[in-house]
Amino acid sequence: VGVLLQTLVSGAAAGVVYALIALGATLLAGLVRVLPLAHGDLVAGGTGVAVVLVLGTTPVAAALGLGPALGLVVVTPAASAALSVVVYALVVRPAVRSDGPDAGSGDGAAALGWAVGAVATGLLVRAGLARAFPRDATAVPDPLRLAALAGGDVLRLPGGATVPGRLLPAIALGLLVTLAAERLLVRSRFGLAARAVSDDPVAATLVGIDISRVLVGAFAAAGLLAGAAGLLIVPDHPLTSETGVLLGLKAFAAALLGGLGSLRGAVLAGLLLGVAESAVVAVPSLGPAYAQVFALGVLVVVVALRPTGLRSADRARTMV
Amino acid sequence: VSLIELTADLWLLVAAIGLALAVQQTGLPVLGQGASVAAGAYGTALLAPLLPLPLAAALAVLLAGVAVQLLGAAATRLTAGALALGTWALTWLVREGLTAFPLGEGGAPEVLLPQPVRLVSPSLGVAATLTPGWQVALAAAAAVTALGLTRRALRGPLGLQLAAVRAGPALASTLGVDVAARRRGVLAVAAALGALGGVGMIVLQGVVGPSDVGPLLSLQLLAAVLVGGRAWWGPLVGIAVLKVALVVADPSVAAALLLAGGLLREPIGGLLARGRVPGPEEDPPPAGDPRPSRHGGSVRVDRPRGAAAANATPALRARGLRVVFGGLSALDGVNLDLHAGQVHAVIGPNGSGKTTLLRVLAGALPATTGSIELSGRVLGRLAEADRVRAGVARSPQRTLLLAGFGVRREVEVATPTGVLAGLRHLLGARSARADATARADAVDEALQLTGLTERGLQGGAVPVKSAAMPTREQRLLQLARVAATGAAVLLLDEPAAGVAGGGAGLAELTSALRRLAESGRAVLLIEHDMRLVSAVADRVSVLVEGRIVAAGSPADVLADPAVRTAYLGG
Repeated sequence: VGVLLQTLVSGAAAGVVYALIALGATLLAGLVRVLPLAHGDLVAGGTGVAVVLVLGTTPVAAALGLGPALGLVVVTPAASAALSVVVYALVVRPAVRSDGPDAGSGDGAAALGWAVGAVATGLLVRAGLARAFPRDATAVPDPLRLAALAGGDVLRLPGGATVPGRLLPAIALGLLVTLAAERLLVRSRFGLAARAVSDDPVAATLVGIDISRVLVGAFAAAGLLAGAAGLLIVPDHPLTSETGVLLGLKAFAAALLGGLGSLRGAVLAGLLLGVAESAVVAVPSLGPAYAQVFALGVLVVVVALRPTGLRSADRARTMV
Repeated sequence: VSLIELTADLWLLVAAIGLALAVQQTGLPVLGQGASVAAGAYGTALLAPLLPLPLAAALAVLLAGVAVQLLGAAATRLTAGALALGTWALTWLVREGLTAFPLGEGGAPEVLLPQPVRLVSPSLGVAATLTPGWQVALAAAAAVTALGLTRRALRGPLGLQLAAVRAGPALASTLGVDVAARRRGVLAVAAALGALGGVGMIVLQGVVGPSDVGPLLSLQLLAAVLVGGRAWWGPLVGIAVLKVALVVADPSVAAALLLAGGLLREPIGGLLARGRVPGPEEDPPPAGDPRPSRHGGSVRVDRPRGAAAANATPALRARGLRVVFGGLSALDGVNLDLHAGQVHAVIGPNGSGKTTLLRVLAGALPATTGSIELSGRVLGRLAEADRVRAGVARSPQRTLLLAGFGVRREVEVATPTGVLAGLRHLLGARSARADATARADAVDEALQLTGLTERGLQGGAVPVKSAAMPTREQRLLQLARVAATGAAVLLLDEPAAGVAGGGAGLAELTSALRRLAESGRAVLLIEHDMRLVSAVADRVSVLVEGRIVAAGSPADVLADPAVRTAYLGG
């Protein structure tokens, strides 16, 4: 029972992060029909920028004071959102423009354009991170002090197993942000406009929706979510230049499992993927070697079999 | 530059040549060429203790190609975007997998090949050490061979077909190019060349680790290929530029900058020239006497494939075609006979199902129920490209052209060419010359039938790039292309779209359609322009709400009060 609970809790903690990133990725995929391949790098990129701006490049071991903590909490999502908008302006906009709004689903030139632009951006982010943090991995203290909320660094679960104390509050906070974002994207006027653009960009223009404003908003929102994911995961996983891209690929696995373009599907699949991954690692005959390989394998298989995701194709075209 | 460094670069070039075939020539965004390099390097190192080295290397290369050919069944169905994501995920999976499950001795993630590498064969009496001199010679030979074969392939029928696949799978299918097979083949060749590069890498260095063949290598190769451009020597330039960039910047930054540079070099979306928006004619017809064709002005009429043996039986017979979209019947029990040598026009108001009918006959859309026979052969679920080869070809309503192609090449794309003919050309077989002549004859015939012979002549005073021709001639070119498929049944969707009425354009089109029919082809014409229909059609069927409500000679049908009611609403 103890191991089971431990698996569940640590899996859900990872899953909620995947869900946050996948939510942004699936939003963009549904809107512009491009796959934001650099989306994961925004997580690490935003966190890295915030750490450099607030803490500097020397590792900090002690708990953070109120000022730096607040700084990280504000700057990380803001930096991710800014990076996301830059990616839109430099990479996605030119590619989509040249081939009409349906470019992403189509063939050849446009896809080559946005895919190459995105991986190039990711490379630059990784190169920047590697330069800013020359060590293999940089630990960042938890700005949210979630452990304090749980009443200790280590939480003893029923059955005897332990997990880091901050995990339960992290799950709760992550779920809160995810669900709030999902509801907001569905209910708000922006969400309505975004769904209109996703369904039919031409018709959306005809009823007076400013598509480029919706797209900038969507990229910013996806960036904010990526930044939030960074805040949640960075205390558990020391920052390396490749943290982001691997997280991004796992989030894509979740987005595809949930049906590309489906917000709710992405959230659910993200949680499931986290728990499944944690379960695979917990099986004694498999073990931690499978941590990265499992999710990447799932991604490759899903792309090969059902590139629009596991849910039916016409569901995948709609957002919710 | 040391000899060893040069050898390493030559092996990278080999991997880049393979990648360029996929990315530049076929338009497939492959972001994971590092994975095939890994297959070659790891495969060789792991097989070397069991087999003689050349065999181990060959097997590794072969396995990479075959694996992709098998995986390719999935990959060829993918959209370009999904292929990009899949190959990107694959290169990370390979690196993480090789790290997590070390294959090297003593649990090391790197694999080794004992140095110096010796080729020993007691039976042949060979015992040689692969000195750096030998290695650079081998690498150079591999690179030169790969470049030479690429150059040859691009100038031949295979290059044309790949260009068609790049321009658009839909277009390529209507021209009878088996898009899935070509994509699969190209991906397999790309993987095999990548693996060959990996073999060279491990033989040269003796040790290869997961990060040597990981995502960074994938992106560096992609960057080189993009910067190099589409010419056959592009990868050579690309690797040279990459080499220089790696001297001045760190590996990631260099690759990122080159990727960006590659995008700027090839403006996005500039790969496919669109036909112009149909509009009024702009240019006067070219002055001057038409020049005689290479065959002295006579049209050589080959009997089109699939033509009916006797004129009495229809070339194409459709019975009870029904297509249901959701709850709506787009076609509701259509019977249609197309006869060789006749133009059969299908008219009807917008939304009556004309284009649906054409797409069903061409195999672009499956019928819910009903049967289609070509000269007595049931077509069943035959895919579009296969139907073109069987003898049914369609020309879509929109003008689609291949960017930068001259008129003759634009038509030659459609001439029937199997993989074998492509390979004969590649290997310089003697029979390849006969193939080329047959293709040239098919192009000549198609151009002559559509009145474009003059445009097809090289180096004339008139522009020969298809994109530079007036709309009117682009429409004729589209007809010539579908005629060049050699199909016995041609399905034409509004060939007059964009051609101004009353002008020379309509007259040219009329005679082109008549000549196509007189050459023994059966022509189905979907058209709104009643003057064209009455001038050219032998038979007219009227389609209203998915049913044929009237059929007969143009004069009878157009005088039919029921038809007038359907068109004019009473």
